[in-house]
Amino acid sequence: MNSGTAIAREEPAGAFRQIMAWLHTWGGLLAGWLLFAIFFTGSLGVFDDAITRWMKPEAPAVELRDWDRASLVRMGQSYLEETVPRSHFWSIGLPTKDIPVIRLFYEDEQEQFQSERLNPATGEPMPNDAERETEGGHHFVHMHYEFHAGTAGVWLVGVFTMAMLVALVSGVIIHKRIFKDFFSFRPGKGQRSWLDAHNAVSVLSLPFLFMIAYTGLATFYSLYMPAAIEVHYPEEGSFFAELLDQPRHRPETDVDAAVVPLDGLLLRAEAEMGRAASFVVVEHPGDSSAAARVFGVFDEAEARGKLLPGTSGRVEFDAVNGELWDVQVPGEIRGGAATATQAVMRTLHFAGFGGYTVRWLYFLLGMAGAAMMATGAILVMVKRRQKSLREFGIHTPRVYRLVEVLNVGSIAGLALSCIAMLWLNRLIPIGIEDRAAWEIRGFFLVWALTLLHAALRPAGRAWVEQLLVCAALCLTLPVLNALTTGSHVLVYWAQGDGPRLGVELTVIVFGLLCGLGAYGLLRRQRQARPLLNAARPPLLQRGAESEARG
Amino acid sequence: MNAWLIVLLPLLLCYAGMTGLSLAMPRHQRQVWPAVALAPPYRNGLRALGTGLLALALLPCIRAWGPSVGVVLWLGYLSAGAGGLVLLLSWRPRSAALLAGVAVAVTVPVLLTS
Repeated sequence: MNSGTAIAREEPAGAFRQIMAWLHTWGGLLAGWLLFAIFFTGSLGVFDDAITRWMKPEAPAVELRDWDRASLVRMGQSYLEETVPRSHFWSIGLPTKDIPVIRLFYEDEQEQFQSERLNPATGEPMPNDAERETEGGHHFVHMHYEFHAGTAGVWLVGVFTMAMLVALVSGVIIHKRIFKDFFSFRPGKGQRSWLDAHNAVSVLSLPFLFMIAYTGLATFYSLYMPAAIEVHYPEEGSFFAELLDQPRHRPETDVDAAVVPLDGLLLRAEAEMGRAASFVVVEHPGDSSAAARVFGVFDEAEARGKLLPGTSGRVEFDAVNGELWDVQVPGEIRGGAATATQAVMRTLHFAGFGGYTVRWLYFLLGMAGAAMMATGAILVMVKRRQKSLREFGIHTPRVYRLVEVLNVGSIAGLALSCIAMLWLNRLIPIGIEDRAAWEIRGFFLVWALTLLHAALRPAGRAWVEQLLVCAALCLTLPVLNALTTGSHVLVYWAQGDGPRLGVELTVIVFGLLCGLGAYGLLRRQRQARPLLNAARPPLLQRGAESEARG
Repeated sequence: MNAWLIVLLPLLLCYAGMTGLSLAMPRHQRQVWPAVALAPPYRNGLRALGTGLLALALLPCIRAWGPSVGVVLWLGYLSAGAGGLVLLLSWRPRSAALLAGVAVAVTVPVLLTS
């Protein structure tokens, strides 16, 4: 900031603003392509439960009743003891209303994550085709914060989020008429309209955009700023153990020891917490250092209206002798003011604190954020399509072409692959190995194909075609659903199935918007520049041509 | 109070408040009434009315969701109300103003009686 003010003082008025404008344009554009994906999938992720429900049309054929939780944990434990007697961790999830089976997660001997589902009536593994294996709406959440790329993905998203904060601040600096143009949107005026739209969506959703970017960074503070923790707390998990006043992680001893029966721990934990348990986790089972944690059921009604809801209950035991180590009752808050502040920010980011009202507001404002990235990226090219600014010398036409291709592929292409994901969910056969992963591979494959398509077609055509395909996929989704599962909007309406109905209606509305966009674009292209529709010369030739013209 | 009413009350109030603020600006006032030029006192009145309605929207938010979440939601509603207005104002300016009038007529009595 110091160098900025220094420049403003030394150089003629407006120079600082010009530098900010440059930063905003190119920084915003480079970050905007992936930020669009982050915002778009994040907005969808707000409704991950509803989307998962839509993506799992067949509930597994399991009787739904009030199970004896102790016996279910016993089933889980005996399966795990047989399969992986020694492991880094076991996790046993008890049946819920939405997932009425026992869910097991564990690490096998090759240190690979595995999961299994047991029938709560028999304790036997559920067959592969018992239900449609899918990541569901969680796919969009993973895309949103890590692009399915683990810690590297979280870092990537963090870097782009920082870039977004820079773009927001520089955008506010260069926008001279924030209040005068507050309500202005003049449609049908080319570049002017794109600028208006970009300004309007950005300014009106600015408080949300700052909040969501900042709280997103704060959520992963220990990953983004690990140095101090690594230096002062070299032992695994010791930072959080001290911060939250929890028992320390015990390193593995390599001495064999059996895990005590977990059903006994479950009952004691439930008595301590005063509520039902949802998960039992065992850390290095089979080793004499084993520890067990029992987590309480998350009560959404209780968390509603609170920005600092505290824990849902957490009890920790020595898993070898059953000694009780630690009890956190539901609602308990540990870790002092800084941890509480961070927890409030996390609550704000995760949109779960106020039911559907908050979720819809986040969805709409998140989409406004995505629209900000899209209109900004498009504006860059709308401005330069009229008249080349020749920023890159003789390479300018090629850079412009690259920007056009990336714009189409990252905006229309990403939206298209998101809806394609719902199609894949209905088309990929049930029961195949790795089915959930195939859906995700399909998503990325479609995204890559949209980029390829954008690279092969003239930009104007590529936009229209991808928007049209997107609209068609959205509008015919209910037909596909009816053909493959026999359900669709009207069935959901009659059953009063709000989440599934909401998903399908939202998809239809989105399809209409895409269709409208394609129609408007097509009309404009026919009207204004008949030449644009004519076949364009290939890349290199066109570059030379515009050079000659410029 | 009815669930839909809880959700819609702050939205309508924010929408109407933002309309008041926009009509206080000559550019948008001409969009709605091209033949009229409002004198400054009227414009100040509209601005005060708009601000008042925006502030009033905080009331149902806090009542329904408590102070902390209520304020967060109010900020979201401000954006949503302004966004709806911008869309309507650019294509149907007259209807935009009319809707704001209806919104005030409906919400304020509900708010005062409930």
